[in-house]
Amino acid sequence: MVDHQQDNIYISKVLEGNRNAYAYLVDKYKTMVYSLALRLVKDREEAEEISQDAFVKAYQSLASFKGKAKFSSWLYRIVYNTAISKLRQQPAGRVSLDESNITDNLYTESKQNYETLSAGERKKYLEKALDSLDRDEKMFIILYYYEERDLDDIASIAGLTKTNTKVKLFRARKKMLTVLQSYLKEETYNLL
Amino acid sequence: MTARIKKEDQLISGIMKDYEMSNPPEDFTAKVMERVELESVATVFLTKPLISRAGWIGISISVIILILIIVLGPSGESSSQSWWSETLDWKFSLPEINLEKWRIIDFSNSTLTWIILGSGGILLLAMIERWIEENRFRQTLFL
Repeated sequence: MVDHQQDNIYISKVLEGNRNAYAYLVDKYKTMVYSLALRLVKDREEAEEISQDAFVKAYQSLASFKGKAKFSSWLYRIVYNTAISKLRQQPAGRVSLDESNITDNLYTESKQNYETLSAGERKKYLEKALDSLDRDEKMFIILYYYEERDLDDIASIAGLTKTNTKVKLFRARKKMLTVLQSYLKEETYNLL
Repeated sequence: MTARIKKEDQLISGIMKDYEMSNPPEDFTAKVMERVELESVATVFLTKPLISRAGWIGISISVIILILIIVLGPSGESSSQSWWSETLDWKFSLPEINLEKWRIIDFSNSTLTWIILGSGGILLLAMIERWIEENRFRQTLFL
């Protein structure tokens, strides 16, 4: 809440003509914005361009920010829309998964295998699992589990209904676990 | 939330603890602020025209008053006896324009003609202002 209020103080300063106050907001959110853009486009240069564009667009439209939502949610929505516009010319890197592979003991198997991995391996498989998701799913997982955003917030960022967001998040979670499970099985097989 | 979904939810939460964000290049903030600065220059020139909104309102009102004086005021030689010249104790005479030269264009003395001429004048002023503004903006950015 305090964080939210602090953002609003800096936004007011920017709107009063203090451009340097915007540097504070850029510094604060650049890592998250860049990470999100990189997850969506998978190319560092393109991610940087999208992030910069998003910050400039946010600056230009700052007067229209009403402060009802969090500034970060509003900013992530701009990042998401900017990335989507860029990606429209490119085919979506969708990985098709046979969901019938999702087993009841998915949780147990995945958990047991995952916990035996070293930190480096865990990071590697996490990256692979995230990369296997489509762009919306990646964003939902990161915002929900890493940024700990609630469903309403994610729905407003993605421009979807709460129910739709919930369904997509559920599917993303399933897909991620399925991918992890298959990687971990492969790993176990290779070790044997 | 069923028990299974809850367990999966916890598992993903645990897995996501290993997630690391990617850092943008070190000069990222500087680059963004540079672009913001450039955008601000553009915005200043685009939002501060040579003639302000109040200026345009003043010009429009003057033109309308002028049209009304011309239209409502008595015409011809008796203009010196008009109500406003008597009230203000002030006289003036409009320059005589030889409309014969412009016979090719049908200048009628109707209200509509004056309204069209007045609007045309305002439009011309607006176009001149826009042209000056664009030239000034281009020079500021590229010279």
